[in-house]
Amino acid sequence: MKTADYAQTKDEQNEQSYAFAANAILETVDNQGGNTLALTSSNTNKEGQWAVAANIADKLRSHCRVLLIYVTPQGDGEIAVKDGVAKADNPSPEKLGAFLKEKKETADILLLCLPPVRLYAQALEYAKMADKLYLVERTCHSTYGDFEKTLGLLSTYDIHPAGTILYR
Amino acid sequence: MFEHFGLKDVLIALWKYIRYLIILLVLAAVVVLALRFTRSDAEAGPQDTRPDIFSSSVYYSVSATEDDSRYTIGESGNTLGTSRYLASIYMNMINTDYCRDYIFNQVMEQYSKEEFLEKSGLLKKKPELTADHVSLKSLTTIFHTSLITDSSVINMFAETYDKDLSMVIVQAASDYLEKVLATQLEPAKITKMSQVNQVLKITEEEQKLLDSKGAAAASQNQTVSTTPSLKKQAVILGILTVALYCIVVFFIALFRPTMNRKSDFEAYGFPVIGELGKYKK
Repeated sequence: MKTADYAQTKDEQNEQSYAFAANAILETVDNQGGNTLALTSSNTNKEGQWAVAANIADKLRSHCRVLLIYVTPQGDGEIAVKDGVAKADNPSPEKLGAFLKEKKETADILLLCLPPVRLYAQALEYAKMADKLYLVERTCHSTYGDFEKTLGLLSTYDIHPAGTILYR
Repeated sequence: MFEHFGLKDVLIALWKYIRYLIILLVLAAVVVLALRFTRSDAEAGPQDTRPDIFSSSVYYSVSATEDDSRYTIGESGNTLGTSRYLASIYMNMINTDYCRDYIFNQVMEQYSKEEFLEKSGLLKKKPELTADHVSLKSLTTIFHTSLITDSSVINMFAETYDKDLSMVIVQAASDYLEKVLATQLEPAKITKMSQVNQVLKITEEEQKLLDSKGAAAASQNQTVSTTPSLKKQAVILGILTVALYCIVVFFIALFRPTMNRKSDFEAYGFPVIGELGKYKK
């Protein structure tokens, strides 16, 4: 129950937290350029990572055209697009690169949701295609060991995360 | 190892795995209930320790033969009076040490003195008794005779905690009556009417007497076994379960620490651009 004018419910607080994250990403894109963004994680919680990506993409869509691309490590290599969301099932880096190049004309931001780079070597290849990489981590679940291993692998490819997005 | 190990980290780990604690507690409750329903009657609580008494009883009818006049009593001299008189003679002869000795020897052929003490119930009544105290006099508390009122029927019965012992005593008494006494008193005719075996529950007063005997024995450093109650068992197992859970989670938090705060991530030099609430599916 609200006790003051600006008091928020839990759901409202949640909504605003996604808005803050989306605004931070937009700020970075506006200032530093680059419209291909990648989200990866050291954590194996796929459902959480995809939910975060979907919610951030929703917030970004209120400002610009966003294409959300879910990249999975298994599949026949096909890329399908439906209702502004693409699903790429284990595409080759060349195929994904060509797809991104094609979609840059129609979308302001391409948001790649990648599998954990510490688990799938192909994910590192995908991460190299992004202009900026963000780590989506779950507090109280992501371990130091997994996080440090992820950073180590990214640094070997000279990829420096632009920031971390935390969720519960 | 300890650089990421603080009180908050341990508490977070304890909360994170709370569902496993609930599962363990449910399993512990199931184990306690299973043990409660499967334990034997010998380990049951105080309400189940009241012993059963096995009573074996035999009835003999004594009747005078027609041609005997030596035992005629009273002016009527009727057969019933003579039979009753003969039955009382038999009763007196059964209640002698000679008869008890006969019965005692029969019993000792099948039981040791220690077994006799325990199964007769004498040990419960007097825990200080030993095998050396066992004699034919021990039968006086467990073997009894009576003459049925206004009849010539003799009742002999034995009450012990063991069915077979009761029956052995009564059988020995029957043998004495039929094979020893009957040959000595020829004018009488002895007929076995019936034998009754039954289980009796002891009275509350007798149970209290036994309990006080047991308490006295315990105070003299004689062991009286007890089993913890169901509630106590459940509490102990619950505490042990929680303790085990805490120890396991402690080591998980120590050797596999998680990043629990924003500062844990910022320590690596990357800005945290968003702290999102619980994700919506």
